[in-house]
Amino acid sequence: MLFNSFEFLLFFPIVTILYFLLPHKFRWFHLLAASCIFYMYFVPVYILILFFTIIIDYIAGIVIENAQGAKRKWYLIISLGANIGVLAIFKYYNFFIDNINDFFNLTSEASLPLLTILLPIGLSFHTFQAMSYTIEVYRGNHPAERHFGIYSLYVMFYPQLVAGPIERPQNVLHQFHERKYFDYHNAVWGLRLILWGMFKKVVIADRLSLFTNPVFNDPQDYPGTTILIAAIFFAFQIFCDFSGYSDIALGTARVMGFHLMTNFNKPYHARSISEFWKRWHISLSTWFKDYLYISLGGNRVTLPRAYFNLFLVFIISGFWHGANWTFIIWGALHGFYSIFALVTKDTRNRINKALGLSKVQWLDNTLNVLIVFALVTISWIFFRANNVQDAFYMIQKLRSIPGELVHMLSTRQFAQLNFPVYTPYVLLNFALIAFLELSHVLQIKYDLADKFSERPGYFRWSAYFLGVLAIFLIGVFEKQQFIYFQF
Amino acid sequence: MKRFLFKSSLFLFLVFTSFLYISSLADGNTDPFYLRFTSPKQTSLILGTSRAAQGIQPAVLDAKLDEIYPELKTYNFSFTVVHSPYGPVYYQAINKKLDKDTKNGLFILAVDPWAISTKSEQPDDTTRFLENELSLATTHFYNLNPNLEYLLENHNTPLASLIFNKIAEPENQMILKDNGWLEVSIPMKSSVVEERTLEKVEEYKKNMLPYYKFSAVRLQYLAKTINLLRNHGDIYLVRLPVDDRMYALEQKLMPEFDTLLNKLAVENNIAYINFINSRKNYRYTDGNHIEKDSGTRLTADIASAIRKGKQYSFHKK
Repeated sequence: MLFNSFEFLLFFPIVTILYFLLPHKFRWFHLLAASCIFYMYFVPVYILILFFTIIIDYIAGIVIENAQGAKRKWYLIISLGANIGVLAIFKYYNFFIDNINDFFNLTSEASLPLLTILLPIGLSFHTFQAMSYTIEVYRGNHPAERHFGIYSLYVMFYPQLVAGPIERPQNVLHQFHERKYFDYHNAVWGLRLILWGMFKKVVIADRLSLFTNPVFNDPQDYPGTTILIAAIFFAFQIFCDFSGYSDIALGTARVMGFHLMTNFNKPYHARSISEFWKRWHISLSTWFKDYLYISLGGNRVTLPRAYFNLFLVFIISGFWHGANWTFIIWGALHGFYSIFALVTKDTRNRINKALGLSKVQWLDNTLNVLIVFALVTISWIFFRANNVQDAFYMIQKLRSIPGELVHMLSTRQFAQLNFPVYTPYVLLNFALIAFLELSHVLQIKYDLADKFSERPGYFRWSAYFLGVLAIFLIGVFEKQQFIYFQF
Repeated sequence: MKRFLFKSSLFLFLVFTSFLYISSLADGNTDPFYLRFTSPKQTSLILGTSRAAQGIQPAVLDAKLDEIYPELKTYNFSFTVVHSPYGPVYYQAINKKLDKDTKNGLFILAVDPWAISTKSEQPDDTTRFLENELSLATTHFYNLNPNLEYLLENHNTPLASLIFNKIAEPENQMILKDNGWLEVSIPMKSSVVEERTLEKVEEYKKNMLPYYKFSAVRLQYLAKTINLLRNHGDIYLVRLPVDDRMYALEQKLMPEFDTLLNKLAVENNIAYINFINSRKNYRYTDGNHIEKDSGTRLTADIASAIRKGKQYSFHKK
């Protein structure tokens, strides 16, 4: 079920209240059952896939811990193979077959058959979370979990089951063993996070999508200026969609006393691409860093090899997001950005010094933030476009913006912008983005969350009431799925 | 925890009450469909696509037929060619809207080739029906006032517009009346009408005619709808008039349409009232939808045809 659904509005309080009413020894079972119900709401039979990998990884973890020598490695390979195999079949099989058919120009009679199956929801997330468990056991960083139910809950814990954050066993497993008591502070923090997450998702992300979807689906119907606005809107849409989901996941867990990792940290305030990746989808970027980049040698190898490792990791990261060339190009772009930044670091520093920018810190920071945002937004065009041709078309269309602006300003004919929604709603979108960024700036300068907690009760409850009202009055409730669900 | 639950419950009650109040502000200006999901179950229905939604006026029917159907209150439960072609979704919706206790209702089923066609290479594959993703399929409750489910799931504009509309009454070209009729008031200067008609015909020629195919399943559901309504009152199939150019497109889509419907009417022992040959007697807003005053005359003509039919005992139960 979706977090922004009536069913979840009923599901969450019932599960949470029952959780605290039950004796501690039954709670893992209750949460596991609830997580199964949550997952089976999508396609019930796919829970078998989940249990397939859970059983393999559970056994592998215990064997790896007890075994010596090559046997440990073999069981790690079996575990990783099972998870990657499931991913390969359900997510990537059709992509490879399609490309083989196209490459060899196979006619429909001679072409290799495609699978007509739905992608299990959250597949990429829970397989990666499961893999982090067996890898950590193999590395000796975490003991194997002996309780099958608790291990299953580690993989299936419903707040983070379908779209992360991708947790590590060190952070989460022990929490399922701990006795949790109702804590008012946790409940308030959790519900606040849920409210903020819902606001970002339902009000900002889904409202922006009403603009971006028509433009990305039919870019040839729109001028370059509108395409640029759609790209900027999409940058905030995907941030609000994904971070909103993460906030709801963290808040839902927090109400029950579980602490999940932060997944986003104001990514569009990054001053470099590497900083962006320390702030965006933190659980995934650290997963790739710890289990792939470092395993490949990281930067402890020759420079060309280090660059290759970096580029490869970004390509695979792009591929993780989806079985489409657009995602691979998106990943490759970020790889290119990162390598370019490393290669040109000294040169850029010299230029900054020569221009005197390093002496005007705020200007230097602002320029860097804007440049990073522009680069990331261009990459988002590939991420969102339906195909590579559309993405290149949109990029190419951006070149016509100066001419369009001159023409519109001189003739005052703005109808050419052909906005897919009423102009007041476009202004509303900009206002929502401004509100979001203002809240980020205030959070940095004044630690907004703590300051808010110190305000009197009537102030806080009024703010909650207005927040909920804003969600109902400005939110979009058509069933808009979280973007990252498709991964 | 008890104190927390008490505070939360109070808060939720306040939120729910506020939301209920704001929802109650929704009316015929909210969108072209909302009120149809708030009215109670109905004893007499007008069914079909947007042609019927705009073209058949319940108040006129009620006035003209009160001698034959005392205390008649027809309700226009027509939507659009995408929302309510005949099929499983519309059938379920009609089922939910119908007052099953009624025995002497009146049911006008507006029919045209588009309403029994599907935009698909597999026109009988119900999984490809476009209406599966729209409000008639996604809304579970049809008779709630206010209908929170509809407002949350199908209303694209911000709900804040419900408040703004009360503060400053919008000048809407479309107002949904309490009896389900969609009153459309747009300029009817002949040059403007001609431009709209050309656009509409071009749209149908380019985006619909090449892709729509006759659906035997939809025809079956039309028959099923007749069977559903048969025990609750009198049924009339009505083909509404359209502009010559729209009619030409319909002839290309389904030249055998009238033959099919005549056959269906005879098999089910009901009347098929066909206005297509008198299409020149009426004015259209865009070649497809009948203009308001013409709609009044058309509805009166439908009532007249029904009276004549009753006089000659069209219907045998």
